[in-house]
Amino acid sequence: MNLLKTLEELKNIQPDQTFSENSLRVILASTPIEPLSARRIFARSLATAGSLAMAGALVFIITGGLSETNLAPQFSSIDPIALHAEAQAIDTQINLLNINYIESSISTQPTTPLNKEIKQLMASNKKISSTTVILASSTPSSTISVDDILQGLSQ
Amino acid sequence: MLDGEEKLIQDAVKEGDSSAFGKLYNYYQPMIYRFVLVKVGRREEAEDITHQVFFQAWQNIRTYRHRGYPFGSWLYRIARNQVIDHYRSQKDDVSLEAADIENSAPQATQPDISLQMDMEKVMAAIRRLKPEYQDVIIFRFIEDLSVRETAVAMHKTEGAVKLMQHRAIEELKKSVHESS
Repeated sequence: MNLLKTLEELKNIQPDQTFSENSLRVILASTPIEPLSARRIFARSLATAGSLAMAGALVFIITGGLSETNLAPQFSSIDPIALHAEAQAIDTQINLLNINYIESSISTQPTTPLNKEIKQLMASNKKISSTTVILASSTPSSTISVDDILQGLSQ
Repeated sequence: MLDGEEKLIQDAVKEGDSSAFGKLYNYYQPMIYRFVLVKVGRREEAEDITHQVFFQAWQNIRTYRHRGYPFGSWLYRIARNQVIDHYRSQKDDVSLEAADIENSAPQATQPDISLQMDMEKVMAAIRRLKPEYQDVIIFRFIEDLSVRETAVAMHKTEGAVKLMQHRAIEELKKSVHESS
């Protein structure tokens, strides 16, 4: 066998014509990919940076970051110092002491028909607010009216 | 090299001119097909790979930079990578015995049976060579590329191509002799 002659013959190999035409048609039906130019890279970077800045600002606002700065909206009618003083002035201890007193007085007082009624009502209505109790027991003596107690419990 | 190739490349690259690319395709596609067919040995696979080569070339045509070398050098580089990928993805190697002679026979011409057998034998012998030797034989003896063009396509110096060509031919003779 003449090797070089055979290699020469391999030059005659041709692809199938139908395949070639179909392949070219399919290839040209697609669109070439646009290369990344400096302008496109800049535009993409700008968009990414903008998104990150927006997200950061949103997180800052959500976490209350504005209150630490002078950018927070100021309400002229609200005086924070006065509000603070007013909150300090509220005597919550009194109400708590009254609750203790009511509980002890109810248990130690001789059973009168009125106290008995209060106990029954308190037992039947488990959800009694502290204000109701204070109202009902602010006068632990028998001067309180039944109507007042019932009204308090109904609230 | 195709006449007016630079203008065609310019049109295809800058303006995405599909007709310019079509002309380049018509000129280079048979060469790429032969290159791939000799390397893989099966017509269907050669067609698939050739299609992929030109598809990739068209997709990335805007990134192509003409440096004075033939457009074919770039296509051969894509083809070589495609063939490597093909062999990587192929789990079962097709043996010479399993290869369908009808499938890899030249299509346009109808040489006599003994010549056809010889061609098959030589193609099979080429496939047994190292990939670099395969490339140099195809480029220099089948595609008639110059030493310079071969060097560009293979990322080698011209001296290295000449040396490799000599060794490749010796190896090929030995391989053909052993098989017959």
